[in-house]
Amino acid sequence: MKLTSPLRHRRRILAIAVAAAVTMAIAAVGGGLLFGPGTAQAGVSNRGTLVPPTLNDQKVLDARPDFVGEIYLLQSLGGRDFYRVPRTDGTDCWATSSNSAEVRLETWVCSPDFPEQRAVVDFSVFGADKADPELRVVSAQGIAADDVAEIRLVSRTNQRVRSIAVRDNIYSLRAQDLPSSATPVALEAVDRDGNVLFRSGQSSGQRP
Amino acid sequence: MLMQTGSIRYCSARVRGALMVRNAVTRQLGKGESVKRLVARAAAIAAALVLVSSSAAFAGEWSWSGSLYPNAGGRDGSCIWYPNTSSCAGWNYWHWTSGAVLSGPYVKYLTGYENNERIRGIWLYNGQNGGTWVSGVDMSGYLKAVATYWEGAGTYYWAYAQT
Repeated sequence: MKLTSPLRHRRRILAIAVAAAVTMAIAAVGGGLLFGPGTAQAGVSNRGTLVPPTLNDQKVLDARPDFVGEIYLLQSLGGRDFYRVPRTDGTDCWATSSNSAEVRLETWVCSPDFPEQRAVVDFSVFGADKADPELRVVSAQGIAADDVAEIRLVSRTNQRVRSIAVRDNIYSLRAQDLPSSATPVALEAVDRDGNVLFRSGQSSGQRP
Repeated sequence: MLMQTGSIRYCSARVRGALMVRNAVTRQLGKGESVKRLVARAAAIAAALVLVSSSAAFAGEWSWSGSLYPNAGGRDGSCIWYPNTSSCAGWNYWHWTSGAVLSGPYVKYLTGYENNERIRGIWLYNGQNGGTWVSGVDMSGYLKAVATYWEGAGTYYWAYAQT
């Protein structure tokens, strides 16, 4: 049996170590490029900018001791402002407002499983009227995880009637911009590959 | 199937105000303050409370907890749109409402407001809690705050509203 010289052994170990380091560096910097777009991390990159609460916000903050008491503005889109509201346990709640001068926390939702198990925190308003008594989408807005590429509005016949782009983790479509030809009754969030990550019609609303 | 409970509390701002004035007077008399200064201070507190309470016709709150799963018995027959699977507050000028889906693997509730013309709300799913001001769902005026079970396994829900 031919013995490996000490020098050749050390060079082999060094080559293995360099290869491992290069692989780890590529994974850390651009894992999506190496392994494909469908494997993007389910995070929320947009953390927002600290803004002061209004007097009306203080009523909600006072009723919620689990809120840290800070509000972060994520973005303004479609006539609405969107916010991140940190909790004392380290998770976040989320909020939106069409009238931030009066109240920033006009609508708020806390979802501890977002974004890992739930792709969106949806603030969309659903409703029915005497003239049209079936529940439908009245306006569409919410917070989306990083891997959500777009939001699709779906009709009663399961047709996709409108797409909403996600920008900096936000989606927003005002009531007057909803399609008039087909009434949307549900919405779904899809990734870049077209995989459905969330559908408002599902009982759980969690990632499949 | 969970047993339902229900509790509705209405707290009048005027009752709370009267209690505050009584407690303030009791504390100051115990400290030996002069009666004249005490009467002046009580009058100032009462005047401030009148200003606050006059801004709302009736200050109130509503809370409810239980299960609205079909046949769970937690439903409120006075709700307008979905009386078989809803619990709702009485008619009032509500400002904001909130809810919490406290258990259950797969479930969806509608949290919002209703009147005879329309119902508006946001969905809350298992494990979520949240709420909305009346303006957040583009409603206003004399309304009922409402929590409606929609689909999924039976679960425990907590609702709250405030004027």
